[in-house]
Amino acid sequence: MAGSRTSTRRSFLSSGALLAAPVAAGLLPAARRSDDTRARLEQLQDEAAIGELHRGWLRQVNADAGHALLHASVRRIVPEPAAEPQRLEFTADRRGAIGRYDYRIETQTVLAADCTLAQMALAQGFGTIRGSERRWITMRYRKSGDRWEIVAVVLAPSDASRYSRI
Amino acid sequence: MPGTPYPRQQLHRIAYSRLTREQIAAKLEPIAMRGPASASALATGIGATLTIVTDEGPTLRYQFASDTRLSMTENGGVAVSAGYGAQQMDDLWFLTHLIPGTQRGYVLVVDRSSRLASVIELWFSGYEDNREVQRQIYFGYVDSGEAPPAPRHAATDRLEGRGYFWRQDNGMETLEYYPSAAYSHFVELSRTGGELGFSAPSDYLKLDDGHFVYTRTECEFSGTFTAYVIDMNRTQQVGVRLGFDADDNLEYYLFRGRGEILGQISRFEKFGDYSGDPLPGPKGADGRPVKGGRRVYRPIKTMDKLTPAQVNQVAREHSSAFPTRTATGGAAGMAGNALPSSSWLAGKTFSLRYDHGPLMQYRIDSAEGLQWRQDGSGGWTEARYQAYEVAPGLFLFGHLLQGVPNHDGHIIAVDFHQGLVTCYNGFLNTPYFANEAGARTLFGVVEMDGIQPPQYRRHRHTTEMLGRCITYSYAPGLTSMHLYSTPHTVSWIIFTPDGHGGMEWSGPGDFVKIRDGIYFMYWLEEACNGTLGTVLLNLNIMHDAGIGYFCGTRGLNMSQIGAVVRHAGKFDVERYFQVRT
Repeated sequence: MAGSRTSTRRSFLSSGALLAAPVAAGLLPAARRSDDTRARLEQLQDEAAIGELHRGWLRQVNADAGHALLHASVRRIVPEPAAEPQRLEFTADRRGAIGRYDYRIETQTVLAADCTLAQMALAQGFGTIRGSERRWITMRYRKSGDRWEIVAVVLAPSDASRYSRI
Repeated sequence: MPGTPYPRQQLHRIAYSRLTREQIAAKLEPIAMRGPASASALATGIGATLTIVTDEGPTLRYQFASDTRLSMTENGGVAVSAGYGAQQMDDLWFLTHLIPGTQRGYVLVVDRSSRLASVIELWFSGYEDNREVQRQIYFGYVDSGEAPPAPRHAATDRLEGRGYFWRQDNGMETLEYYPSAAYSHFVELSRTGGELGFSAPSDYLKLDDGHFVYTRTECEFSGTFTAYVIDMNRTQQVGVRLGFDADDNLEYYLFRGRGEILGQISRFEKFGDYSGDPLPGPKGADGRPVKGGRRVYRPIKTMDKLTPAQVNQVAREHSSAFPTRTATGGAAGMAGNALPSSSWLAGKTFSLRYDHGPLMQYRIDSAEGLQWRQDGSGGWTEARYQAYEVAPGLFLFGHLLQGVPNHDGHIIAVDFHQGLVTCYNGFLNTPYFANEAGARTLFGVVEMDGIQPPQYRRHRHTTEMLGRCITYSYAPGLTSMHLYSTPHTVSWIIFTPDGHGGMEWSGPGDFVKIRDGIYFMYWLEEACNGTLGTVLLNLNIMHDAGIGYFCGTRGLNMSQIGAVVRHAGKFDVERYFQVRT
């Protein structure tokens, strides 16, 4: 599955890592420990870079850019109180990654003025529907040079598989 | 020979004159000097002087020379003499006057006990239609030299859900419904025979728990303003009416009236929310509310208005039936909670024989395709349709009749368990706007292998829905309430996000009983988009299925609507629609 644009639960379990997972290198031989430590250090650096990228993206969304960055209806993304841990998995060449996040999405949709009732709702100064629902956000990242960038974002209902194809 | 009580034209069809400022001024001046008329004796003994201070409005100082003459100043300005009239209701004084030389006037509601006052400033020539009375409400108190009282009268939703019959001292009889906190609905029984009800923006003010003020401005019609105080315990009113009638005669009179409570339907605000004035008015460049500004539904301004030639063109080029649900086209937004379509009709052939014609023959090819033929002649015409099973064996289905001169659509409630059918036959090329739908109601029977229809029994018109209020939740954020205010009227109210009744409008309607608890109804959005809306309402499952028929610049469209419903209550009004000798 290395380098695949899609992932399965199986591939995720074999290669994924918790963002906050501790580095477990103590049981390896010394020679390998050095290589693994370097690799682990690089992974931690990548995770940190992606984390910062993701937090910046969240700030943009919540600064009223959600409609542009995610979906026309999205106004804010806030942590889901009962959230499952955020997860990040890298491709084998470590030039790509997929992150999955359990969030609460606050939406606001303007009624289409396509019937008399909607026209009246808009005329009386309302006509927007505000909602809040738990969603899985799946984000695909790509390393370009030494910088990580967001390639794609997919919203999935909370009752859908969190391993959405992306 | 006495005349019938019915008007030549209903309010929404009258071409009211566009009165000029000068015409209005000329009609106001003599009345301003004389004061309002009144069938009842005017109140006496108001006193020599009265000073009212308002919080964000004028300070008004009055000197009363008699029961009909006063002089007054606004904010300490030049004194003006005018005619006035007043009525009294216990400690409440209801006083009104115009200001000579202007197109303005005031209505004062003064509580001599609490010293609280509501001031309604009125004026003409404040909107593009000069005849429409504008109003601004101020709250304040009577300045008696003592410390000002702290409370104030206030806008409220406490009257929402109430309905009254009123009989004024001048013989005027009305049914007045308050199903909204911002609009109201009125039926003129004595003046227009009570066929149709109409809706108007309104204010509701609480004076105390036993007394409230109601106003309405008949926007989009004559522009006439009405305000009265209601004594909730005695069911009495004192009020004023100011405006120009259909013949441009100035009506300016005080009235007293007695009423009957029609009922009280549910309100949908949270418990404890008694706030009024729920629709935010427009604001000026300074961010402050515009004086007299209010949200008014003016459908005739935004409605597509097509000529017969344009109707023929859009119907020929852009007809569609039951398009895939999108955010555009007809009543697409009203299908979010619709019932699923049914394929039960597929493969069947049957005829619907309407009592006075036509005979409609059907071959149902698939779940969404059929062929029809009329009166057994000519070829078969294919049409797209959808059907919804509203109760076991009872279906609503509809289709356009391509090629028919008036671009008809048939919306049909067919009961295969009873062999009965009712069709709302929508059509275009109507007299006022060619794209405004008209409708005929056709009763008949089903002819089909295995079905023996009745010979005499038919679905029939009913008044069982009269006075009822039903909420329809079509989609998230799109809930309205129907008020069936007369045997021929459907009114609809839009809610605000916090559950206040907001804007309201209305049109002619029709009501047919299909089975116990199941009713087939339509409303026509006359002078308001022109839609024919239909619902087959099943109160057993509190859900409806409906079909809309609409023609606008984007074409002729038939589309699904549907909602989960609640029963909000019923006004007891059937007795006002009996014809007695």
